[in-house]
Amino acid sequence: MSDKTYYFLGKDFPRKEGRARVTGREVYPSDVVLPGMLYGKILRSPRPHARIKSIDFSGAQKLGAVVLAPNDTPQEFFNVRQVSVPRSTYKDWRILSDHVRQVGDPYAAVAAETEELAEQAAEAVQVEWELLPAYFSIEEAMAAEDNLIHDKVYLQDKEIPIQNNIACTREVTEGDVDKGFAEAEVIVENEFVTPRVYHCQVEPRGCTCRPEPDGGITVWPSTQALHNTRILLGQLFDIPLNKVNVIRITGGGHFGSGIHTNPVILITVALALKAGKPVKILQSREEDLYDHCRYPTRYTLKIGAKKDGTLTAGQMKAWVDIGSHHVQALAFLGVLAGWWHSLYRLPNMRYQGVAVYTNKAPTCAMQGYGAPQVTFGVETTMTILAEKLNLDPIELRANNYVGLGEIFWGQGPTIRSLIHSDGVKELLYTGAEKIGWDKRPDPKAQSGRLRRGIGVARGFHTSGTGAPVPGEVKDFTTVQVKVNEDGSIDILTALMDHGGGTLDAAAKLVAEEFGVPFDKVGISPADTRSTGYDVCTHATRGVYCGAGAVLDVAQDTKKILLDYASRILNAPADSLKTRPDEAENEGIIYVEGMPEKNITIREVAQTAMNNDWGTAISARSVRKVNCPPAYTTFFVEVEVDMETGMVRILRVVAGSDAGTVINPALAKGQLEGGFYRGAGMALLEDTDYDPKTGQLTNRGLLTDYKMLGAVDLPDPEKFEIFFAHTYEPTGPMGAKGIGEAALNPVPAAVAAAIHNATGIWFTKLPILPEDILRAVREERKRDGKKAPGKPQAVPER
Amino acid sequence: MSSTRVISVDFECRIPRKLEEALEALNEEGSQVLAGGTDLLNNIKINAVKPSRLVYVLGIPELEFISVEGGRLIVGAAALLSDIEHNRQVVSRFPALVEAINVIGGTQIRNMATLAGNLCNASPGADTPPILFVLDAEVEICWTNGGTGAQRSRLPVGGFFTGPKKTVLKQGQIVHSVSIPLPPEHSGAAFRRLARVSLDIAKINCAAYIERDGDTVHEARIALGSVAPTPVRAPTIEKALDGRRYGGGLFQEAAELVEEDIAPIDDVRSTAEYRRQIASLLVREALQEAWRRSGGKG
Ligand SMILES: Cc1cc2nc3c(=O)[nH]c(=O)nc-3n(C[C@H](O)[C@H](O)[C@H](O)COP(=O)(O)OP(=O)(O)OC[C@H]3O[C@@H](n4cnc5c(N)ncnc54)[C@H](O)[C@@H]3O)c2cc1C
Repeated sequence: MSDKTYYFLGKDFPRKEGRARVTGREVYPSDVVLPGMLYGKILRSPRPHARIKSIDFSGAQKLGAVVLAPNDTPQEFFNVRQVSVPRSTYKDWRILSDHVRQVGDPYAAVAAETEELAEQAAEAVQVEWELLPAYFSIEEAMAAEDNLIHDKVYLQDKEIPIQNNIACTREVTEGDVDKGFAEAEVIVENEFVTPRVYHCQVEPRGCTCRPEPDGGITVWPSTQALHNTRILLGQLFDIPLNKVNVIRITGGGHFGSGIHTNPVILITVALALKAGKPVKILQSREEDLYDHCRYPTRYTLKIGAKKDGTLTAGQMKAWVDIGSHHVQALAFLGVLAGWWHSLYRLPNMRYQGVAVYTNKAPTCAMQGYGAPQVTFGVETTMTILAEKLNLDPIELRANNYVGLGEIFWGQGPTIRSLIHSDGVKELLYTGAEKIGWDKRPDPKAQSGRLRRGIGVARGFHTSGTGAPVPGEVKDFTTVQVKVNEDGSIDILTALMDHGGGTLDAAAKLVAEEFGVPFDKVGISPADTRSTGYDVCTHATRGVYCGAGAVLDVAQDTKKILLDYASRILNAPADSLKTRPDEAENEGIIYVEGMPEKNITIREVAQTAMNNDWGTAISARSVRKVNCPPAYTTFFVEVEVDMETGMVRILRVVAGSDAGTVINPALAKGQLEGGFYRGAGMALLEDTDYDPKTGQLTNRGLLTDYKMLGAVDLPDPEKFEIFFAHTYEPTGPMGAKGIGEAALNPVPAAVAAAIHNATGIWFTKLPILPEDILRAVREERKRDGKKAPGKPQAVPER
Repeated sequence: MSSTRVISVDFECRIPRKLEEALEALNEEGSQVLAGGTDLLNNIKINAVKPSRLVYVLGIPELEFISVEGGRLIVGAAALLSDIEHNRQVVSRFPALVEAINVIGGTQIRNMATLAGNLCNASPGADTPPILFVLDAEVEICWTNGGTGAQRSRLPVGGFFTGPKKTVLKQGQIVHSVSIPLPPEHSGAAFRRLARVSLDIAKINCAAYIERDGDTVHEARIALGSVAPTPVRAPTIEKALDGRRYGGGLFQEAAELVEEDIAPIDDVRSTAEYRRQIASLLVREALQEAWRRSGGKG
């Protein structure tokens, strides 16, 4: 939050789409209904690993259903995620395959006039399966020599043989690690495990597609990536892109599950093309639970330091159980190294990552994209290190973090940019004061059943994936900004808003730039035929890269407008200023130092039209060449019941360095939401599989995918939020990102608070009451022979 | 793989206005009672049951009552949980029943669901059976043989469950009402449970009832849920408490005997180990609270 004053930035306005949302008039993917539309239903494997021996659709056809078999779909290999450049893109997907690789893997689809009929038709399809051995752990999968989950995949267009179910590997080395460890005076090493969290976005993923008379298609998908979806559809179905129109509709939540083009979109399009009619498929919650989840990780982390707390070396070895398909695990392995490298200065580091296929749901990005996973281990290690060295954990962090003037890896080792703004110390010190850090309990001094603990963890997220030198990830946004004949303004871009207020932020920036009332800036409906490419809203790039692009183009348009105004006012364009006149609901252009010499934007636009000068309009693509870290720090206070292992969250102090805060209420909402999912990841959320059946132990039922509810979280008045006073010079009016940073340190902060209460470190998430109670009892049994505070790996549940 | 998007099985839905009508409709094989539907509809959606006919019992006047008669509280099968938890008689005389009902679902669920449904669904982890066990509740069952009017019989709630998801009810029989004797003076009851989050089915739940005679336990009843194939009483603890004088860690000592009375398993909500570890804690807490409510000191 910078101290500058603005007309609109930093102030709260009702959301532009707020009225539609709260009155139920917003159209979400599930609301799309077209005349003559059929309802589709995906047939999903009941087996974790099998091949179709035979399939009989006659029962479904008797019911009048349109049926889609694997050989009705293009059998070309592709990757559903198109954010990475082609040379780094592994391809192991087909729209439908007769080789199913997990329970829930699609192998066919049907469409019928009603949803009920489609469901009955799906049940009438008979399949004979050839069962294959299935693998549910990394060890089992890597031990396999044949009957692999994938025999071959493609890297760009090169065929790659798969061995031991290893999808890909990645290594990153900086400096001389052996020398670094030799210099270390203390070394801390632990294994960390993070869960397979399900996105649980409010609306399950779905799509509607209408085949057009000209051979084209119009598509209403749930997606975060309008243009990537279009490009993939054009390529797979061999339709020229000028006939593929993907419409932006408000998503019912994503959390990263829509960065890739979800299989349901591809299947819907294939069905619609086969049926020659519009088809809609909305996944059930159960299908959705088998469709995507967060990357789980298991890694050893070793960090060496001198007695004064200077870090000398680090080593990380990570295994990622990616499930049945590659949603770009190579990029994920890269960011694990990148987040780690950018948390604390490590002159020498060695990283090895291995991604392994298993017969489970495919893993993909979810809020934080590897950062919550890595931050958990790194932040835990930093506190253990501080305790070993008798240093204040806050000071150890303040002395070692990667900050102002240093190089930051925004999206793995290929995206590097210089840090221009840094509120880390303010976040640490202000937060410490607010939570009462100096008065935090001493775990060894606590007795009794209920024990209190305070924990801290910090982290960051990149604001987008831009850098001076392009790397493996695409990042640009195309925008058009035009001034209407009444002085109002339209923004046209394929940028998506996932509910965080990205497009509102863009509108505010434009209102600020033009000096027009916020209400006069509109966001035009967008589709891929009328907009240029936008990579997608991910990587916390919405405000910094996306809305930043909107601001840049708005400035182009403003130049044209001021040129028109200068002709009318007879004053040079660079002497002209703008301001909003809220009473008149107009934007005013005036000559600097001569406020009486002014004209409304409306009059300028009308004069320009009536004199045939044209419209003030411009459009172009903008790439940001930085990706500043948006820092956050969380302080959490918990109470642990030593008899039940139950953890209650008493208090939270969340600090965010987002640069200029454009939408304060929405930014706070991000921090609250990030905490909520981060605490869920720490204490509760996971998806386990039953190796006997290959099914989720919750059977895909939300009843047994538990998330924290409002009553499980601290009261709003016990949730304090503050913003660092920073200004990001490369950002739109000083802004950077927030969304994923709002979650990244949370699991680590919760684990640290539990440690402060119990004296026990938990290195496996989620930390269930069962785990806590078991550890507490073991600790008691050991009768204090070992020093409390020793890291304790929790055995498998 | 289950899908809860739509109910794809066809069934007939009857909305009778009289009990007799309902009972007749239920005599046909494949017919099933629909009360609040908060269990049944989920089960139909996941294909766990496939009834051909549902007979809706909410709104049948003979079943829609909460009354106190002949020294008993009687709750009709169509009384909603939210009506029971707000009923003045229930609130003043059965605070522990209110506690058990209050943890079921959220307000929306309790505005739909019934006590009879909670029993008939026969989940080992349901929240009302333990408290009904210790309050010595009885279940009144009714049915019709056609033309002869409603037949009725009563049995203790302890005899109602025969296994997970199984009860003594036969095709055509329904629960008419649940009745509970009004508790005597110097008695108290309490309910405790643990769950993953506040809106959840119990990992384990437990209820205790104590009749006090001065500073001794005249009679104690304890029951637990989610620790065996059906909700269970804890006779070992009960015996250990009978006639014992309060104090000296009595409840703690007795509660530790709970292992004798339970046979928990690992499932998606928790582990057998954890359930065993916390069962005695919950029993101790419930006993302590029941003792306090009975007017006992300590
Ligand atoms: C979100 C959610 C949260 C829940 N939380 C809890 C919880 O915390 N604790 C808990 O115990 N339960 C919980 N439940 C389960 C459920 O709400 C309760 O079991 C409820 O009491 C069932 O009552 P109902 O009227 O909805 O029954 P229904 O679903 O209508 O019926 C349940 C079963 O009983 C049969 N039945 C119903 N009435 C009769 C009758 N009079 N005679 C014969 N058979 C009958 C039906 O045929 C069916 O088999 C929850 C459910 C949901 C959806």
